[in-house]
Amino acid sequence: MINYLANPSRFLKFSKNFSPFVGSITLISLLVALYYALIKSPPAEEHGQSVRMMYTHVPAAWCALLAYTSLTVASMFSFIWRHPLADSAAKSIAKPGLAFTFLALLTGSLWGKPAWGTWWQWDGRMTSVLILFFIYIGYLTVWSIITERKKAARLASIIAMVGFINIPIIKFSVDWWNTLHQPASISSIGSPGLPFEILTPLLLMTLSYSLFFIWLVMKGIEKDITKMNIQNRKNKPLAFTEVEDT
Amino acid sequence: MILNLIKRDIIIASRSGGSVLNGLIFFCLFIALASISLGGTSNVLKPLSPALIWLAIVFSTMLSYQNIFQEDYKDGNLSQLRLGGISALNICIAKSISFSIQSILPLILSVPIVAILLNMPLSEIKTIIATLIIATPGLTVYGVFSSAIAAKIPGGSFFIVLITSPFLIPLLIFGLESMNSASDVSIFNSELRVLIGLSLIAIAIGLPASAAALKTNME
Amino acid sequence: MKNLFPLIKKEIRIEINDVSVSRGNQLLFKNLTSTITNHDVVIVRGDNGIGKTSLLEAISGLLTYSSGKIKFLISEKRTSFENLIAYQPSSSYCKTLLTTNEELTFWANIHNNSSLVDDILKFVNLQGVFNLQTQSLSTGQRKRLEIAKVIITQKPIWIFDEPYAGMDDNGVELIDTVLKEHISRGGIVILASHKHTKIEKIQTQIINMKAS
Repeated sequence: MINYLANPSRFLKFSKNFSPFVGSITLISLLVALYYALIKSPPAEEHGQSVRMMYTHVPAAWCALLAYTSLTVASMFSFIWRHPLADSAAKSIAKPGLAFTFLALLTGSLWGKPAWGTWWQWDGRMTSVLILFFIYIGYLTVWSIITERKKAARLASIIAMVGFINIPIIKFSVDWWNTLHQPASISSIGSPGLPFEILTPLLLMTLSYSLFFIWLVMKGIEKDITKMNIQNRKNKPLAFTEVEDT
Repeated sequence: MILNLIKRDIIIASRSGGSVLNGLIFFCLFIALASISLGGTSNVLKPLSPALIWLAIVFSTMLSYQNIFQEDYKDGNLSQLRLGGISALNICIAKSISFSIQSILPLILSVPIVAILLNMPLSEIKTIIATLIIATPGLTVYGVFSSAIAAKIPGGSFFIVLITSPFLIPLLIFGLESMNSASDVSIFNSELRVLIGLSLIAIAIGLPASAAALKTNME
Repeated sequence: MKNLFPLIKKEIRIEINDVSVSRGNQLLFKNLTSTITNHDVVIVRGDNGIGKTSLLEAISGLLTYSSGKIKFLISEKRTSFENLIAYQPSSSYCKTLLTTNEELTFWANIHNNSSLVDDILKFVNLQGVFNLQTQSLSTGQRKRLEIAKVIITQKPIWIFDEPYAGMDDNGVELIDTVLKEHISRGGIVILASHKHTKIEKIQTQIINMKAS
């Protein structure tokens, strides 16, 4: 099936037919998740209603990391096989990836103020997410500054791959630095002992964010392939050559 | 071959009458202005001095990144080297070495003078120079990398700084932490080992990545 | 002078087949087909901005063509462009702060021909400016240095982009002499030019580029 879809025009047809379906289940899952998150689940003991921010924050962070991992995979395909669909995929993954990273930072900040009294802290997680944000910006800047499509795709894929190797290094460095300076004061959200009432909306929100991400990527690829097709059709040569032997 | 490239770069840099000094002037200026704005008293500056020196070096180095490939790309030298059969990897290696010598070495040589102005004790001066030398491959290679990506972009300095900064942060963190853990007996603590590892990773990954980026730009 | 222009004994061929070249996302030209071999003089003609430089860069291997094939053959065996091509672009690539000698020696070392440096400087009459920085050379002197750099590669295929630009009659004479010598030894010359000089007497192919 992957080989079948690998052809850009076939993928375009597939996506145009399939993405409305993805869009609708995203919407349904989001409504269900929001019901659980905002209405059905209980408020936390200490922090009150503001804990519901967690339901927007954690899924966003999860999606940001999912996005970067899929960006790296797409970049590897783009670099090794020079496949135009991989180029479109990488570009279409990075934009929602940047948005989710920004959302994670923003919701984290909005949650942090009522819950822990501060908008920002330079701890391991927050600093490395901020740096991930800058890596996304650098990646997308390559696409916007370099006009030649194939070159932009290739250079961007190199940046994505080098960035991927460095993200664990950055996370490691900043955690190290923090254990020596200030103990991490943000409790581990991913701890396994979460009660069912909190876990359910969390998982549902994560599911809907991920579906939304997939829908965004499909739509992005559609747009990109369509643009590429239009450009290819319009391309008439500026000059013609005549070879004369004398 | 690589030696020829390095020699040529250094000869040109030494005759360029001042562009090499740009980084050095920024370095001293940064330290001066930072000291003044922090109040200038020795008990405030002394604990901050390693951080100030490291920051000054990182910023001055970032300023010099733009010149690594831009001129050679613009005047056609990179194409001619390619026609001469020189591989992109060799070009990157040569550029890394000559960048270290012409941009980073002057800064490291000025550290003792600046450190004395900040009242750093002698043992600390020795340690900071050691950490800077160990971090030099990392500082150099990531600059070569982003410069290779931005070779074609005329005003690329902002872009280069943006791309390099995430990779310089671990170097900064471990460079400073290894100074904090350094004792009089030995500077070889675990943070220093990590710093060595970071520089080695930079060489192992950054150099091939720079070569790939350079090749892409020359196609 | 003989040792500066080695006899090219093997048969060298460039096969250009249905090649199209783009700059960025804009297609410049397509369907270029040509075969070039020893003793050929190919002159590319066309107005400014039509794409002559891109055509030369595509043939020399510096610009990736978007479709078609360019094959380089020595005695019927495929080879890479780096083994065959010396390319002189329209603008000089001399490092302005190096002296004439340093600049020529650097490229001589790249091509492993450092023993020829003195002879070539004598041949193009640049001994007088041996230790002068290239930024202080006159136009004529710089062009002669460019010719020296092409000769020192000792490669069989020479590609020039506007070699006669800014040259007086003596300079044009020198270039034509050098080109003729190279051709007579079995070399190939491909050049783009606006000027009409004596080289036309021995031209074997003209590539005309006209706006669509």
